[in-house]
Amino acid sequence: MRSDAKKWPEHTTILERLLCPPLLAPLSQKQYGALRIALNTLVEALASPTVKGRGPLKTILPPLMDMKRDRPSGPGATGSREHWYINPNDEVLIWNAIILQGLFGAPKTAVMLIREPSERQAYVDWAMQLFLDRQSVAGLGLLRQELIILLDRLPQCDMANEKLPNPFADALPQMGFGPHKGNLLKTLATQTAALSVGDSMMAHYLNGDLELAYRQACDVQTDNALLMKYRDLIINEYQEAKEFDDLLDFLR
Amino acid sequence: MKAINLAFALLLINAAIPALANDDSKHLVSSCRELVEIYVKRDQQHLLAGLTTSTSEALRAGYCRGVLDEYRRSNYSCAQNNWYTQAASIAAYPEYAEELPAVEALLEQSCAL
Repeated sequence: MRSDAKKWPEHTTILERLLCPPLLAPLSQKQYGALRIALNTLVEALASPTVKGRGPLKTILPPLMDMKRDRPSGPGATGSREHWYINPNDEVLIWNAIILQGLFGAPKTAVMLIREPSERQAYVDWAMQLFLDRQSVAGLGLLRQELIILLDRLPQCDMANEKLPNPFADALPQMGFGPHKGNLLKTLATQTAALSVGDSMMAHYLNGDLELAYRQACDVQTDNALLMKYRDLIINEYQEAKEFDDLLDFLR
Repeated sequence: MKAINLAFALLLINAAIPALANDDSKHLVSSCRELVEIYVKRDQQHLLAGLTTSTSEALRAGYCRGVLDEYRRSNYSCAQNNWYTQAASIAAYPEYAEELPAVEALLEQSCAL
């Protein structure tokens, strides 16, 4: 079903319809700068053909959605921005792409996951492991139940017609948090790496060897809030136990 | 009515006095047992005592140590000059014995070499 291209809304209208609320309209507000850039890149990617393979095997896949570009012409129009008009039927597809971009970072990954259902399971497994097994979902501002439903639906989801649940509590990762500007994947990787700095410390601690855990803890330099908490806890616990030992020796 | 209350109260106090004496002995025995256990842990492994001793256990142990120190300070006749041996001999009494010696007797016996 093709709707009349002349009546297509601008892409910002569609994005606002999808994202406000919870975000505040209009999306042109200054605070949404990073989000706007990320979403525009995503829309651009969805509306561009994908090149697959190289050399003689090279194939060009048609864009996932139609988009009409229009730059106002005539006097005084120089430098004004290009208007993008989008088929309202693609709204669900854009929504799903936003969610996938939020979770997996790059627009390229979102496009690939939409195109290739066979690639989805690997990402679902990876996300399960990172989000649900190793990390505190709440700490990342994700809604656990929605995330589970999303990962459950993803492998067989018809991206053009089925809206994926929103696992993001009240903000999108594309809005840019942490040092990696909205790339949840990198943020997670950093966090995991930071935790591995403390791995031996935690291993000793959980094995009940406070002395060794303490020695490791003294060397741990980190910005990771969780790790810092454990480090301070271990140092504290060690010092208390040490103090007690010293007191007992003093009283002998 | 008041008279009955008074009589009842007297009866309670009467009943409480011997029990209280026995409680003091029990308290000293369990405190000294705590003190000995803490030092056993201290000698067993570095940091172990600090990690496995609760605050109330530590307080009880401190009570035993305090009682022993105070007794030795005021009784020059105590032949045993090692407070730990004293604590261990008090700790050797069964905590739930029907008839424990009075505190004074416990301390006196602990001074034996």
